[in-house]
Amino acid sequence: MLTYLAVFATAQISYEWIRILGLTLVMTLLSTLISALIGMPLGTILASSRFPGRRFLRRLLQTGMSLPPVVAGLLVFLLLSRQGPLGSLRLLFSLPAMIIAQCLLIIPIMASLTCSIVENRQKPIRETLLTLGQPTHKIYFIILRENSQALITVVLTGFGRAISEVGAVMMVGGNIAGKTRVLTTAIMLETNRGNFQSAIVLGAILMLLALAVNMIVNRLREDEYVS
Amino acid sequence: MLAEHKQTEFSTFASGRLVHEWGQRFRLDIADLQILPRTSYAILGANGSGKSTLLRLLAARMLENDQFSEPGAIGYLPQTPYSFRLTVEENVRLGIAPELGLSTNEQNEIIISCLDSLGLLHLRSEPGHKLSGGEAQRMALARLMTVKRRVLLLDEPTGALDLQGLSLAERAISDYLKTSDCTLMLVTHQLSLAERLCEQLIFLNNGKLEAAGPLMETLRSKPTASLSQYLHFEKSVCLSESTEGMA
Repeated sequence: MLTYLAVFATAQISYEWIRILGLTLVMTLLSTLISALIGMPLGTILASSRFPGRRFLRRLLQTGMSLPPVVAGLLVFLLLSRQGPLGSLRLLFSLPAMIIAQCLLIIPIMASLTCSIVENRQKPIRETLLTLGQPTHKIYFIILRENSQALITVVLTGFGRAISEVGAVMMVGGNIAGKTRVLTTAIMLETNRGNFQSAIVLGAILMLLALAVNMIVNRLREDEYVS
Repeated sequence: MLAEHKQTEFSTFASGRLVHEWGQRFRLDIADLQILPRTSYAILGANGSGKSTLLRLLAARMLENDQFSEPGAIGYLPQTPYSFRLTVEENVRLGIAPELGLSTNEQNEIIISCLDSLGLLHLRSEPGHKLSGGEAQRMALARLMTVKRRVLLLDEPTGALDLQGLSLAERAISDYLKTSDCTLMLVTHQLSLAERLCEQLIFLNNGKLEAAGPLMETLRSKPTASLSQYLHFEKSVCLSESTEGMA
């Protein structure tokens, strides 16, 4: 079966497939990176600071964790459509629109998970640094760094969500060949066309991609643990 | 050599009422504590009497107080000190607040001196989070001693130390007190250590302040039944004499 898939995949590899793979990687990595840069500091601040509306914001982010992708897609679609508040940017049916939709889905997940991790472990770190006279921004940075092992799992969760997402990217990307077609939307298209073999190979490539990223990240984690 | 704050002295610090409840089981309620500058206090009491809670509350109150607003004015060492995922040297460097504006060379000089005084110089490049309990405790002490602080709040700083570590830590604390003129608040179960380092006693029982005053006089007069019972169990006289004899 694997040999058959490999032979079939080799035969199918074309410029379009390489383009799909490239777009998938760019979209997934950028949306994971942007979400991590926003979600993780947000989660850290939520876990280690007290301010009015903190509890509400936390509930909102927790609710956002179960935001249906099509709802996220709809929100971004309305925001970026010609009559929408950001219509003048002309971003609809483009890669940036897909990244925005994915960030909307991933930021609440990363922020909530970071908040839970940091909340349980930040107290001794914060107390120590606060009395030693370290500035607030450095305290937040050190809290994140001290929890880096656990936070890698948060990044992988966000990556997993980004690479497997189909509803939102389909709505705001439009599945345009060579422009916004990614692995998940291509699988959907091939299935609808009845090209099940192509769909299976694309699915296998998607799984291999996820496996490769997980293996690289886990290797980095092991290296850090050993050192 | 220690990095210095502009103003190292503070006037008497009044803690105000200190209350902390821990479910139904425990309630700490202390009306007011007057903490004098350049004075060492031993906080004694049985397990669960509220010593660590009192120290934490004091640290929090002091952080809010204008007299201790300069970064790093308070040195608080919890019972289980935190070791950062950095080398021992970098762990100790965190004790020096950036606002003091010391150059890297000046910082290194201080760090080496502090590590040396606590017998940790050979471990300076090792990861701090992989030290043994006693080494981690000494590293946390070294981190506090990088800067002249107004007050040191130490929660059982020698609890995990062997005899050599205990001797090093005691000497380091004693030297630090002499050079920095800071106030010490020491939670300990080692009466002999309290006798050697502290002038004043704060004795807690079930979350209440039972006795306070000059350490030796209060220990001798045993003004309350609970202090008398505590001293009986701790066998203070025997312990004190035997430790002094060994030293």
